[in-house]
Amino acid sequence: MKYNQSHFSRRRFLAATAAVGLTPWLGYNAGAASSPLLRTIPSTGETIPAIGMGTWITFNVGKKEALRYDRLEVLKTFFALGGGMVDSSPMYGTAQDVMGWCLDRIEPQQRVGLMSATKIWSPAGGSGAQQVGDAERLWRLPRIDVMQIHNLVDWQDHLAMLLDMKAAGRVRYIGITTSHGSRHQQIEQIMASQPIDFVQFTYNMADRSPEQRLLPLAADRGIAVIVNRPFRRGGLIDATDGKPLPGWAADIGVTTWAQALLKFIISHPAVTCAIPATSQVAHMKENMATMTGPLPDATLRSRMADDFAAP
Amino acid sequence: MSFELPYSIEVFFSVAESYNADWFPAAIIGWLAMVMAVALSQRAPRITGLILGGVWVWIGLVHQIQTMADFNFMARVYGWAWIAQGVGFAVLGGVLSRLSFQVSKAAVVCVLGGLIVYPLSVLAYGYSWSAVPLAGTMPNPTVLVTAGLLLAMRGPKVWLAALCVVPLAWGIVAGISAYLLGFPLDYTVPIAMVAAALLRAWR
Repeated sequence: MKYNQSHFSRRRFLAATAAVGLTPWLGYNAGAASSPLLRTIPSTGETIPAIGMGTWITFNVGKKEALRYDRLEVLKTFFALGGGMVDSSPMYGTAQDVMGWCLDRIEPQQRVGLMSATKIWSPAGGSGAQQVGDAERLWRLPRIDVMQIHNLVDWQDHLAMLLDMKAAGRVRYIGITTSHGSRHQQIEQIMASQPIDFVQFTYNMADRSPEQRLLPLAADRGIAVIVNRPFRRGGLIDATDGKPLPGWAADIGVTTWAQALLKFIISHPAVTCAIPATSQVAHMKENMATMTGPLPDATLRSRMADDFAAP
Repeated sequence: MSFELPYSIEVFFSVAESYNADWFPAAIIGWLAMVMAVALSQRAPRITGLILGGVWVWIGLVHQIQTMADFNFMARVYGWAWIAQGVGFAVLGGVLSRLSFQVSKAAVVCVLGGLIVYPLSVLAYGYSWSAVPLAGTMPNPTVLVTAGLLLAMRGPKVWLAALCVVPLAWGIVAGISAYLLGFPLDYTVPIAMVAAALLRAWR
């Protein structure tokens, strides 16, 4: 199957940041003129930026235009700084509709890297096929890139339908999701036995159980990994309140614990993309800056986790 | 596994503001209806039962199912529980006339808390008057007033106990929401309902 791939070049990144006046903000990163970190989707070889964006809570703002315009600025910043994957779900209330409203207000050439990702979630009602159609309508897109099965609900039925849709070119990638460290055994069984492109689960400095089986299995099976809850909804950042950044922070180009938390995740070789959610432009800039600068090796990653856990 | 709400406190009050505006003057009528339900509780308990029933059905149908369900997938479930509770109040109090009311200090505290103190406290938090949840059209202040009326209510014990179930369950929902949204005022809802249920049981 031939895909219209959206490669994000260094030139495009710098042009985009310059266009919105963000280059000075980038500081040492821009000076180094490094490209945002790209990761390969094993099933096709297509690359996507390692930092994506979640929409849980943050984009569930309803019809109030002031709130929608705030989110539009967040999304514009995301794309301007090289963002690609945006993840949502019918479980997230009005988030998909708000996302479509925002995408409608961003010129197509300013969001060329978009990798739309959403989910089928049975409790939302309607069949899986209807939910795919709903997602296309709500996102105002002709096709959703990554269609996942939310929390494995009715996964056998939905997976069969999604495989047919993928074969017909209706969706580009299919995947399964979980979060909060639940259902890992079932996720593992599906990863080992089903032809999925993506798997999504929670992984961060405080939730490292995926390192034991899920991440190695994903690498082994050629499954792209989306990491949700990188900050445990801000809880991990709160936990670092008042804790000074250790000396290694400067070595990997991070200036905050939030960046260290993200860099820890995206530096795992099996991770394809982390999807922090935010409603703040400043936080989006902070997140996206994590894609530049050196990555920690395995030894430093271990030390980072130890320093994070230390009182 | 942790609980999370799919919206923020900012969005909650934004929706409250839109809801009050979209259904204007329902919020005022609903609040006046609650005042009337309380005022008539001893002289005309059937009217009180009907008003209470109507208010709970309204909140279930219009606030939960029609408004909040867009933001929170659980709101549909909550909505049907509110409607069932409303039917219970209307049938037992209004149609069957099986309820009467006897005022107590604790009941007055809950009623005044829901009608006056709760909305004023929301204003004190810095939210606009146009976004203030009022008893009669929004769940939490309505449950506070209902807790007072349940305390004052007299009737068959089994039915009185049954009428406490949904408000008590909502108290738990409100308490969890207060924690998740970081809005301590709403801890008053579970406190009031648990106190009301315990006082009822003690009697």
